[in-house]
Amino acid sequence: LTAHRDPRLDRDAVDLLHGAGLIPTARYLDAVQAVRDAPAWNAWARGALLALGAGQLLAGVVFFFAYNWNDLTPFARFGILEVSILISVIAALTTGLERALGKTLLIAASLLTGTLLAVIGQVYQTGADAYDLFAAWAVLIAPWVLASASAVHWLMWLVISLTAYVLYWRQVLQPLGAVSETELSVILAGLVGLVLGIRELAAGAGIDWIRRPWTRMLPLFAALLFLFMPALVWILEESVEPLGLLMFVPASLAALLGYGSGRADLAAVSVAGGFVALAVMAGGARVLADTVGFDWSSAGRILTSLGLLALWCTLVTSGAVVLLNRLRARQRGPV
Amino acid sequence: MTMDLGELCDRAGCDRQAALELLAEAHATQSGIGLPWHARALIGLTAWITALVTVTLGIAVLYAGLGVDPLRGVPLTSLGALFLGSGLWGLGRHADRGVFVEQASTALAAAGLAMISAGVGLATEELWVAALAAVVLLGLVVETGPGTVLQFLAAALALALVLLTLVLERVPYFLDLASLTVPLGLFLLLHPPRIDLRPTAVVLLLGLPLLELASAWTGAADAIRPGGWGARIMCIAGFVAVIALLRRHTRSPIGRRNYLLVGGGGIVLGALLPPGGSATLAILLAAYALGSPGLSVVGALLFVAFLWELYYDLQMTLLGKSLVLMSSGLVLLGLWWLAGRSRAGENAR
Repeated sequence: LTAHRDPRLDRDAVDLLHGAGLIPTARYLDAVQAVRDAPAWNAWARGALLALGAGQLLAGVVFFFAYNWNDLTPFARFGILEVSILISVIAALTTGLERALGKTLLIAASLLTGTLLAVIGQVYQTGADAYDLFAAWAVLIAPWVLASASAVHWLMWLVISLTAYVLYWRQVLQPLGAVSETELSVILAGLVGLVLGIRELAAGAGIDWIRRPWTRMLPLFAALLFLFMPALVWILEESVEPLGLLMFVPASLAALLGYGSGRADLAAVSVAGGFVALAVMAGGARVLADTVGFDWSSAGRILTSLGLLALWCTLVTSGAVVLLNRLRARQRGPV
Repeated sequence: MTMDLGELCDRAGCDRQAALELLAEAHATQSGIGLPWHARALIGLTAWITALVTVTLGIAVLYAGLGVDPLRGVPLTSLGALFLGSGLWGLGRHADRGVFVEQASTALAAAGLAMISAGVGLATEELWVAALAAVVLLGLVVETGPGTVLQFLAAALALALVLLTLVLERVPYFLDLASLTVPLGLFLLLHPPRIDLRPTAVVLLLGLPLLELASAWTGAADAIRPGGWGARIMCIAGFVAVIALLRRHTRSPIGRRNYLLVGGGGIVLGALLPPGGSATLAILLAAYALGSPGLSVVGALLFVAFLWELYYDLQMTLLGKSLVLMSSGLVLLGLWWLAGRSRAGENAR
């Protein structure tokens, strides 16, 4: 920074100037408003009003029908929901799917489709498993999800699809003993990882709506969490299935190397690094438990094991600091 | 953001040269630790685990090494004072301390605060004394000014203990008293004193909605909720005050008119929603006024949580709930429509 160039002005800078007495309290809000990105915040305010308003109205309509549910004939129940879906879809198409309102209406149609399927299940009680409902829901709304080009809609679809698979496992595969809990976690991680891969390809191909950072962070976090949980259980409790750990190690390393290379994505590296650091800390605790032991009745043992664990955690954290600082320095490039 | 320092100083009435020197100095100090928040969160997570292991080690020294029961008042307070002192020393050591030292010291100091409050409470067997100790410790943290995270945690501990005392002592008009935190938090955020009280302000702002949600989820809602109109009025007053402040700082006539409409909508919503829901609207408004992404995310999550809570509210019929939701939804959509029209009008001009 030179004396000729103005420093970056944001709320932290305003707070610093205010704290030093350079901005009087009476003008603080003026200063904050001057440095905030007004167009972006106005857009945020409009988006929040639309999302909260539409969400509440829709929830109110659902509650209203729930209140009168017992008095409605099955025909009326289906009719109300089907007409609502039709109105939402027509309104979405009329408004235009490139606009926020159009996308919101199509999301509403997708939610109403789930409600309709639940009502069908209630009226025609066939004893079918609940996974049928979620699977049918995911299949039926898939065209709308693709057409809306909305990351929120896409996330909703992903949650419905994964719920369908988890229910299928619980209701069909688990009773048969076909797939264990660890294997389920690995399969879910694989599915989410596949979605992440498709996202990366689509973003690379220039599809704009999918390029928001959270569309990478959320599946990455979910995929690694699905692998981390069974890995942690194996590390701490010596479960008989090391599959989670065996998959967690290459997956987290791939994430660290993939997102850490080139112009690193520090956020993605932080997520992967966080899981790795926790696993390594847990590994240290396990080794200490097996060798020295955490025995509170023996002063020597407990003090030694806790002291070594504190040292180990400090080392792991220092490693994370070094890694992140190096990546940060590489991101900034030569000064 | 294209605004330069000269423009900012014209608008906020500050000395440009002095401001430039201060910001340049701050930039030079921070350049070594300028990691983004997610990287700091990772280091923070591991640092906190390290600190918690250290706290356990301290307890082990007392229990296994010295044979003292650490869950008695005096030993717990002493150990807490040791951790608080170490944490404050680490935080105050030098300005360019690393993220690890910062976070581990924060965790040690926070553990110390909790242990001292608990120790004082155990020694006197009075919850209100523990709450008083937490408030005094918050004053110490604010005065020494070692970090925003520690101040946030100290304020959260103090407010939680104060609210718990009010609940357990069955203080009349408890919810209305608790709602005083909302306008106070808004005032401290939007009209801040020179000493940094932002973390305390955020805690005050979050106190009421979190209390309502916690009471609903723990089944204590019936004991807490009766009344609440005073709390509603307090939240609406806070919301309207922020609108008035924003309106005063706006030059565009359309913007000023919009604030009037949002104020009207806020009053209607405040009357319809439970007090915590109105407080959430005030949080969202403060996020907008300050341009704070963190507050906006917290406000949106709290709003969704309130919708969820409303579903399980046994004091209202489904019809009542549906009418509240539809009315408030229509008010919000009406404001959205008006905002869109104003934007189109401004673009046309």
